[in-house]
Amino acid sequence: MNRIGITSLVALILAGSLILAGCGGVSEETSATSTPSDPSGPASFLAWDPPQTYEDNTPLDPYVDLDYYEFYIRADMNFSDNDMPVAQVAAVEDILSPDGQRYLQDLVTEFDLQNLLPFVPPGQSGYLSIRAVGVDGLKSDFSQPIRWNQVS
Amino acid sequence: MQRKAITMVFVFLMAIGATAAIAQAETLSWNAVTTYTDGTSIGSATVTYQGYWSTSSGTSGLNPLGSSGTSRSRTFNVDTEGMPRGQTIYFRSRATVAGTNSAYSSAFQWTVPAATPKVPSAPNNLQMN
Repeated sequence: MNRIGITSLVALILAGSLILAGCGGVSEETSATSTPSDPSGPASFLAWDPPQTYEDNTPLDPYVDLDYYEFYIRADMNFSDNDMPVAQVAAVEDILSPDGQRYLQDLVTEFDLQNLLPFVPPGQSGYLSIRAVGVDGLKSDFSQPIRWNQVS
Repeated sequence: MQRKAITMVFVFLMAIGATAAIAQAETLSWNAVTTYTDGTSIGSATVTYQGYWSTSSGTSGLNPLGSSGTSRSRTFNVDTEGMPRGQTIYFRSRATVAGTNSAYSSAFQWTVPAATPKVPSAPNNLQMN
């Protein structure tokens, strides 16, 4: 996997997008309601598996059909369409081939959590979720949320 | 026995309900050919048909739609046939009796539906490392 550094990040500094206490509507149609994971130790990267299908179960090629991912943070798990992403990263990146002669496409499957620190008050925890955005601009549902303790 | 010319009359397109969201099926249908151009009945002779589509309104560049057969319709998938999404295409059909082809029917104009954007599934297995 590739470590996505700050230099590859396209951060969306969206003022007011992160109000951890009660931000966004809870009852939107894309609310995430599943049980979050709770990591036990310090973590520095967020990882995920890219979608392989569309919602209608037709195959999706993440190299071709995905544009980018959006990152969301909330104080609770009630992610909705009213929430604004705090960052985004391209779904595919170019990496230098082993011989250094050309670039190869590689799926982006990790994100450095350091990039999200400005959006979580020190010492507080929150929930992370991501969405995949297709080349047509349509966004996936929210991924299963994961709890993030920023002090860990 | 003298061969007689055959006349194709109508060609029309009828969309049938999609059985799945994955692929919209369309059906091209046409009226039966029952007479020769002189008005005499074809009778019990077997009539086979071939459907065609083209991006041209003329008879050049015709792409066969399925195979020749006695059915008066052809069901097809736009993407499988390689029809250009969002553009106008033209359908024609032709009948054959005892090896004699009719003239092509008049063209039926149709706009190929634009592709419907699809929503990706959500990323899964979100975890911290």
